[in-house]
Amino acid sequence: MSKYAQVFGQYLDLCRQVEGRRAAAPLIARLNKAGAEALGRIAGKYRPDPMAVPQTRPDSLFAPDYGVNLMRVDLPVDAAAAFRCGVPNLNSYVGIVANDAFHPTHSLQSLPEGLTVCSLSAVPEHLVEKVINILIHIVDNSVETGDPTEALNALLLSDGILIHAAAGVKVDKAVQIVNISNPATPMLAPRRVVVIAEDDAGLKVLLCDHSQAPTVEHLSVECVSVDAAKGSSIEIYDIEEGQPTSRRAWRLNARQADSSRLSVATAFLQGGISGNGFHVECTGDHTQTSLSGLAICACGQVVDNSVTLVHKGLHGTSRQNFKSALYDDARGGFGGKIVVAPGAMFTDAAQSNKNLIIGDDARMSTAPQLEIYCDEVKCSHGATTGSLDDRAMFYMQSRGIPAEEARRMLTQSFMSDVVDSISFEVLRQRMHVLVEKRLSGAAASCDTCATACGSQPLNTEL
Amino acid sequence: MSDELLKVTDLHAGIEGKEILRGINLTIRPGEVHAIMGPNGSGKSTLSGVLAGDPRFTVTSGQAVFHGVDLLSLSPEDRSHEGLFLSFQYPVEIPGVTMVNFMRAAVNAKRKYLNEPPLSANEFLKMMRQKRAIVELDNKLASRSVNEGFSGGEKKRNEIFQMAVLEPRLSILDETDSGLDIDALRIVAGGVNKLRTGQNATIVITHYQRLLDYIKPDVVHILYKGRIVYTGGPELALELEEKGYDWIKEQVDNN
Repeated sequence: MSKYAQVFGQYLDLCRQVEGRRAAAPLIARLNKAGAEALGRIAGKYRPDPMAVPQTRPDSLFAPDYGVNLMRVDLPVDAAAAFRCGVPNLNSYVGIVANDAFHPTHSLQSLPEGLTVCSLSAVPEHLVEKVINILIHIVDNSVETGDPTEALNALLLSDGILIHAAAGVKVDKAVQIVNISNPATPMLAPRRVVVIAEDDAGLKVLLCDHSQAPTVEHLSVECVSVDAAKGSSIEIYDIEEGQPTSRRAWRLNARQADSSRLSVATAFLQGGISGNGFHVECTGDHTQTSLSGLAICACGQVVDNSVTLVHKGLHGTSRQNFKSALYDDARGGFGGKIVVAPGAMFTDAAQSNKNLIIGDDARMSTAPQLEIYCDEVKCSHGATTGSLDDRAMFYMQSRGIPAEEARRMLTQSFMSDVVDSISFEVLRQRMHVLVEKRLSGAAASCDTCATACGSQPLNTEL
Repeated sequence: MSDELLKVTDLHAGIEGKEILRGINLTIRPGEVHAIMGPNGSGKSTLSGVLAGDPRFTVTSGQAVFHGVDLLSLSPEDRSHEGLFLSFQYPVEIPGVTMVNFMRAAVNAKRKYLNEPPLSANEFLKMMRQKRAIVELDNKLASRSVNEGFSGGEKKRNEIFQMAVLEPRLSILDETDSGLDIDALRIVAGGVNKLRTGQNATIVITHYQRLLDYIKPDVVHILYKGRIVYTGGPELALELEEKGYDWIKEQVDNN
C-alpha cells in the first residue's frame, strides 16, 4: 500500500470500525457512503499536486492522527457564550458551527419566506433529492480530479448546513455561518455548507472561521457546495481568523446555470496552514463569475489557493484576483487554471495573481494556466511577485512617514482592490478595518507570535 | 557657527561602487536661496538624494551638519522631521494611498517626533485647505491616490503643496521646472516664493536659467564631475545661459 493510501485509508478504517453505529440522518448516511466509495477509488491513485505548497496538500494535512467525533459524543462547547465575531452590526441570520456541530441561533427562527437555513440532518423533504444529487455529483467528480478532500469530507461528515433560496427570492440580509474550533485534543472537524439559489434567487453568505485552540492542532475540512440556478445571484465571503495551530482544507465546488452570477471572496487574516481549492463549472450561457482572495501571512503561516474555473457555456465572463502579502518566513501558493471547453464561444476570462514578499525568508510559488479548446475567446492571465516599491517607500519616508508605517500603508493599498471588490458594503468597510488591524500587527516579531501577531482578539468572551 | 543651516564638508558618495560626488563643500545660511546648476551627469540629483537619505546612494566619506544635527546619521523620515524637504524630480505614484491619508500620516508623524499631539480631523482639513491655496491645487486631488493620474504640472504643484504643509527649514527643489509649461512654472515658483522666510532656505537644482527668473537665487553653484567647481552670484546663471557649460568644463578639465 502506498504511503498516500495509508494516509487516507486510516479514515476509511475508522469509519468501517463504527459502521452501522453512526447515528446519521438518511441524507448524511448516503453522503457518507458516496464518500467512502469515492475515497476508496482516489486513495490508491492519489498523486500530490506538484504545484501546491507541500504543507497544504491533502496528504500532508490529513497525515496526523486526528480524532474525529464520528459517534457524536457531546463535546462541551458553549458556542454562543464563547464567541464575539469581528463583523458586528451586520444584522445577519447567524448559525454557529462549534467544531463539527451546527447550532442555529434565534436569528434563524424567523427567516423570510423562501429562505431555508437548516442542518443537513433536517433538510425539508422536497429538497432532499436535490441536495443529495448536487453533493453526489461533486463527490463523484472529485474522483476524476484525484483530490480526496471532498470524498473525505463526505465520508466523515456528521452535520452540515443547507442554505436555500427558493425561486425568485432575493435575500438582502446575509446568512452568516460562524465556525469555531475549540477542541481539547487534536481533532478533525468536517464541515459542509450547501448553498442553493433557485431561478432568479439571490443569496449572500458569510463564512467566518475562528479558533480558540492556540495550543491544540486541529484540522477543519470545509466544503462549500454551490448550485446557482438560472438567473440567480450568489455572493460568498469567507474570512479566516484562526490560530497557528489551525489547519484547513477548504473546497468550494460550484455549478452555474444560464445567466447566473457567482462572486466568491476569501480572506486569510490569521491561521496556521490553509489549503483552499475552488472548482467552478459554468455550464450555462452568459454566466458571470468573480473569484478573489487576499492572504496576509507571517510567522510560518502557509496559504495556498488553487482555482479551476471551467467555462462550458457561451458568453461566460470570469474574473479572478488573488493577492498575498508574505512576511517573515511565510509561504504562499497560487495555482490558477482557466479551462475553456470546446464550444464555449465568446468566453471572456481574466486571472490575476499578485504577491508581495516582505519577509526575507518568505516564499511564493504561482502557476497561472490557461487551457483553451475553443476559438473566439478572450482570456488573460498574469502573475507578479515582488517586494514593496522602494521608490514609493523612500518617497513616503522622505515626507516623514516612518518606514514601518509606510510599509503598512503600501501593503494595505496593494490589497485594497480585493477588498473594494466586495459589493456587500457593511462587510467591505469592516474588511478594510480588519486588514488594517492585521497589517498593524503583522510586523510584530515572531517571538511574540502566539500572543501579539496581529489582529485583536476577535473571539473574546461575551 | 550658529547661522549655518547646512554645512556640507568634503562629501563623497556613489551608487553601486561608482563614485559620483567627489568632495562637495557647501554652506547654506537661513534666508538664502542657492541654485545648483551643471551639465547632465554632474551629480546634481545624487547630491539631493544623498542629503535626503535615498538608500540607493552610499556615502563613503564627508559630513553634513544640519542646524547642528549630523544629517547623514538620520533615517530619511527623521531628516524630514528635522526640517529637510526634497521636491522630487519625478514624484512617485502610489496607487491606493489617498493624498489625504498620505499627508495626515506625514503631518502626524512629524508632530509625534516633536512631542506634539496629533491634529484633529478638523484642524487637519483646515490646514490642507489653506496650504492648497498656495499652489492653486484642486480640491479633488485630495481624495485621489498620491500622484496617480496627476498631470506633470499637478505633480510638481503637489510637491510644493507638501512642502507648504511640512514647513521645512531647508527645501531642495530637484529640477522642479522640468516638465512644466510656463503657467505651471509661474504657479510653482510663486508657491516657493510665498513660503520663503528669513529662517528657511532653499536649494534650487536646475539645468536652466528660466526657473531662476522666478526664484531669485542669492548664490549660484556649478557642479561638474561631482564637485562644486564654481560659485558666483545670480549673474552666473545668466552667463551659463548665454555661454553654456563648455567654458567651465574646459577650465576644470585643463587643470
